[in-house]
Amino acid sequence: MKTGIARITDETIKVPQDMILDILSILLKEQLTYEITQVLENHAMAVFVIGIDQGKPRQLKVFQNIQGLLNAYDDFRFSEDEIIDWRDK
Amino acid sequence: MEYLCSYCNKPFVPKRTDSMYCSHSCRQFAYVLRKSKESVKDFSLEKVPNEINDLSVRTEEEIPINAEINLPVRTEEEIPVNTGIELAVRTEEEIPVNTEIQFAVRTDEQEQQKTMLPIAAENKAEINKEDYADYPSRYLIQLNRLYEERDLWHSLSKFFDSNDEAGLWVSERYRCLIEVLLTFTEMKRIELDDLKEVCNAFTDVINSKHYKCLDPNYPYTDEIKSLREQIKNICIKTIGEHFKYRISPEQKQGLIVTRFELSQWVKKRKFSELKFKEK
Repeated sequence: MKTGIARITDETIKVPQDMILDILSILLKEQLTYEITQVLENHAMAVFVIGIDQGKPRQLKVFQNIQGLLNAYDDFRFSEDEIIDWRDK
Repeated sequence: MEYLCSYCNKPFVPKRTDSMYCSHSCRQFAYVLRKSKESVKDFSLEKVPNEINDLSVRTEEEIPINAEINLPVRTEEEIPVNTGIELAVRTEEEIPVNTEIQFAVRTDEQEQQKTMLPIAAENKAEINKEDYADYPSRYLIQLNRLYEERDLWHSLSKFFDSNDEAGLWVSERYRCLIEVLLTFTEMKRIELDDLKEVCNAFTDVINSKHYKCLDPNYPYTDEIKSLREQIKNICIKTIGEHFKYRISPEQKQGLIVTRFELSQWVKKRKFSELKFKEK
């Protein structure tokens, strides 16, 4: 028997400054609950915690969509593991 | 057994039976190309019109049946001359056929549809839930457009295939400097001395024999010089030891694309590993 209990999980993503507008607009359009928990000033990134209802396929698709965009950005911007300390002290 | 690379069409010996590309570069370029096509398609056909609609004109599904009586009803005396609400007070004769404000003129057919609307809307909502179209990223679209406009893949391919020593020497250092500059843009504050060091590295590259021996077709010759000039100006004008290094969004996109182009040909090297000044 199915129950009506929502299975909401918190997914954490790091969003680079360049992508924040795009990701925020998706979250707002899809009305997902989210929280910006941290700003990584020296990496120009914000940490988002998004509440995903595992019982709603659309929300899962939205989250996959967001991850796909962030991966595509990473391909462009980094391609490899980056070291923030540019001198590598 | 040899396969043909799905991106460059060159034969290669696959490591796995399901290999499609001869190299990491080809796989990456194929991915970017595919994403670019998808993004541009989604962006131009779906998302942009919807966003415009959101701002200006509501879609038919969103408009309540009695929408026309929800519009502000003002008498002619109340309406100031030359205001933006001309549409709301137009007479039926003035309303052009097939415009977005057709909903104001309801036909008998639409009356019949009124009773069916709740069911239709419900079905549409169900369909929408299943047919989720990925949202594109404006930023990625801009990067892809820039990458395609520059279209340096083939010229770089010919250039690096010839193992041009000067080109490789300069490219390796230019990539490193771009990486550093991109990192600087993302840091809260940088030290002026660090930027000066990078500026000096640019100067060393420009004064090197390798730079002077560059092939006339090398695509980054002028870019390196203008970037050095820009950094030099920032170093001269900046007051204080620490500051936020800022560049325009367009310039950052340009650096990201250049970094991506070079990353296909030269390995990433650390600033401390490379010698910029020739002996």
